[in-house]
Amino acid sequence: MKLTSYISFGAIALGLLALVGCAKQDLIIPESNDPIFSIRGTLGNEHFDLAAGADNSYMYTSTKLHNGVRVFTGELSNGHTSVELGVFDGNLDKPNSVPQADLQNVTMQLARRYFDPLAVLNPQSIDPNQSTTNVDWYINGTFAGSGQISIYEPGRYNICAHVTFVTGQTEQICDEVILGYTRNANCSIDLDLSQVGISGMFIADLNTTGDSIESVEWTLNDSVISTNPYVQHPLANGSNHLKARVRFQNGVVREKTCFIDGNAPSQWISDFSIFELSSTTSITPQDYQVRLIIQNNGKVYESVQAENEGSSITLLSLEPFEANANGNNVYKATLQIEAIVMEMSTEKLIPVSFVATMGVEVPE
Amino acid sequence: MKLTDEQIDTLFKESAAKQAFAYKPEYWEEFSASLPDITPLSEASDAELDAAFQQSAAQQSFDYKPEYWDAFAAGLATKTPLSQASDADFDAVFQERAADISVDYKPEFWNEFSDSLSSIASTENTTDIEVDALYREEVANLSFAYQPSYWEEMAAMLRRRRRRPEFLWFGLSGIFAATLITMLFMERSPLKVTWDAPEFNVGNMPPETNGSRTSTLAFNSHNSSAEHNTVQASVTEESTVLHSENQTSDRIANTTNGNNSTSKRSEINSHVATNHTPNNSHQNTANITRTKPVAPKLPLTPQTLSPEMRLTADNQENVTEADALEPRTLESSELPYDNALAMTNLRNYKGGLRSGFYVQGVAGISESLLANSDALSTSYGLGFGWQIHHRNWTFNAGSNLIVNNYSDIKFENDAVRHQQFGGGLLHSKWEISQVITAELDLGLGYNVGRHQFRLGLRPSYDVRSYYTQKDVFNRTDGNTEADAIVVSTFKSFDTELDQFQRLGLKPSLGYAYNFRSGWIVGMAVGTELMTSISATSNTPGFNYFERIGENNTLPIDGQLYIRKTLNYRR
Repeated sequence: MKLTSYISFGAIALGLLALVGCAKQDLIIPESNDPIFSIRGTLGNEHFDLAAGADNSYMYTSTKLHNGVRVFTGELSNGHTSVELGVFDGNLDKPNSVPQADLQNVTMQLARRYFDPLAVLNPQSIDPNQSTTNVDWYINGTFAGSGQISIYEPGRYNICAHVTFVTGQTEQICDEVILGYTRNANCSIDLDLSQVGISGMFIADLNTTGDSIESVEWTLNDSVISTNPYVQHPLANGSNHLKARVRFQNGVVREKTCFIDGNAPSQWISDFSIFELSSTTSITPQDYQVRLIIQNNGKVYESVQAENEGSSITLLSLEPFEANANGNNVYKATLQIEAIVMEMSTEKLIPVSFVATMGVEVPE
Repeated sequence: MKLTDEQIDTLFKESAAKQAFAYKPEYWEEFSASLPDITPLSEASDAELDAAFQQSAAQQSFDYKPEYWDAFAAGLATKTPLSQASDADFDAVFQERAADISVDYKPEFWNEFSDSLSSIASTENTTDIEVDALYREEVANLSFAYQPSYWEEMAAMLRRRRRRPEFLWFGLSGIFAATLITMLFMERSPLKVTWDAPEFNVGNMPPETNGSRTSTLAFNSHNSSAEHNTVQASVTEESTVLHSENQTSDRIANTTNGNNSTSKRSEINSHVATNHTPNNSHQNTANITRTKPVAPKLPLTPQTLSPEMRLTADNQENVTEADALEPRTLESSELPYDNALAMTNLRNYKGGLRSGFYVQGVAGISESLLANSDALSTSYGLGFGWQIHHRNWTFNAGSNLIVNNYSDIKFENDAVRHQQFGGGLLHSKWEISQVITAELDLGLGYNVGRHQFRLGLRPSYDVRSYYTQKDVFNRTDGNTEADAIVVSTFKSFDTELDQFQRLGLKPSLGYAYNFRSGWIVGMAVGTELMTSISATSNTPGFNYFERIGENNTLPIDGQLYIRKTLNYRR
């Protein structure tokens, strides 16, 4: 009887020990992780705190165009509050520039608003013989005005002049004009039509600024006529659109176009370099400058419209992140901003201060 | 020595006076039927009577073995040759051995006996034969050692007892015990009744062979209150064979049916007188006191047996007066018996104290034992343990393994998962379906008949939790990924705080009913005390306390159990 009792109670004890001592598993409780993209700061007296992934916030990255210039943009938005950070492209005249590399070497600034025009487009600048009666200006395909117009914002403009000559003939001459950005090299077409009446030939060469020319390609009505910096060629009857595509040794590539009326050589239009050369040079080129656009509670606040001369942007880090849904590379920039934004509806200037880790699309 | 009729009568009366057997007409009828031929009893010879008597006596239920006598003989103080041992020596040895016997009476004896009478409406309507048969059956299972003091205790119990039905059990037990005592201590006289002149013709008795003839029959149950029947018997030279049967019940029945016994006796008287008219002129009618010996079926030892309880078919011996008064020599080879086993059984029997190993199934309903909950939880499980009975108290100690089922114990967690250019809210929900609890089952019960009122205490430990985890991830851009449903089994919470591995204590009050054959059905209602849920965890943003809530305060816990006791008895 004792043995059975001992066995029974021993079995009880062993059973309990076995149950207690069985291997246990931890409960895996998902934890909140740190945000990847976030912005936290104040807009005037309002605090805002956005984190991608929380409260329906998402980090949208894209490349926008503003006045023909790429703006590397990241927008952290939850639908009713958004903060857009844009970085203007730079070295626009260098096709092979690497913005992510350039950004490492620049001091970021907030883009500013200019009250003086960067360029004034007028017919006299491109019609030295005053043979036009009317010029309609189209900027980036949009009618911008007739006669004389001013351009206030930096950009890379494709300006087209619809010219009406005194003879009633009309022509369209288009040329690229870079305003408010760094021009690392430039040139213009120097046209000589003195020999047209004699030999029926025109002479053209290039006036350059900056680095030396590496190559030139002359085309007349889209036909290559020469690759020398100096060209002499018979003038064709009718319209003659002469284009020089110039590659500089520093990598700048520019195209300049002029027009010659073959029937009336006195009617000719120069390239639009005059507008670049006469533009304001005291401004700071907008290369890799930053703009802020904040939307909150239905109001839009822009930094560009405000005087941000005292503003500061401190880039704390810039590192590649990963490709976005468009397949473009995104860089994660951590920066601290103290700026002024203008509430667009009231033009009220409001200070903004925040620390942000933003994603910015910077395509290859 | 040839005994005179008067001596025989005297001897018989003295012996019979000490018996407690009630004579019933059936005795004589049985005896008559046992005669080899349909011979009128008055014409039956001594040898026939002896043979009939011996044949009937041979049907007794005594398991006598040769060792009985050997052991008894060895116990004689003086090592006197058995044939020369005095009655006093025999008595002394017999009494000495009987003093080791003890009987513990427990009310359950009567309960068990009365339950076995379930087919019988009431004891008042129970026939003698039914009670006889039942008693024989029950007595056959007895193996106790009786002490005289127990009779006093039992008598006191009888006085305290208020229940009507106990009389039968008490009566049977008491009478049986008393019979046993009497049997043990009574001097058994050789009951070879030789009816001599004028009823007996000794000369016609079968010759006796010295040392081999057993011509006596022992009365092994005596009751001073037994009634004696006086029978007018007219017998010639035949021996009157008195059966030694287990007829205590008959005697009790006769006692209880006192109104009938007289008539039966009258019948006996008339029957005997009618059928056994002496046909011998020299036969006299002798007044003999006839009693029926009572022989319960006991694992008898030589110490409990009278050396006279032996039978032999040798009836060719002459019976002398010395033989009638002196014990006969036994043929030890005819009596196989394991004296050691019998002695062991007698010494080790503890009366009504029984320990039992039990197994049980439990099921219950309770308020949530974990946290506040609107739904009740169910439980089921198995257990085993040991229970000990002592008088009216029962103590049990065991262990149970309980599966507690819950339906609305859940908690949730939200975690913001930032990933790539967005992320989302990961909503996790855990639903606890089961908690495995190991508990000790301690109980103290007081028995009132078959009813038991209990106090219980069950320390417990939650050792396992089964839960289902479901995760839903809502992406920030409005696209919802497919629900991540994780069904986890055999997982237990095991944080640093051991949230769900907690100690508990369940005091309870209970009631149980003891059925026959060791089945017990009971219930317990109590509450639970449990260690508090820890307030915090180390997981940021996840707080058990906030999500689970406080412990449910003193939840009510109810449990039913069915227990089968495996009685242990050596």
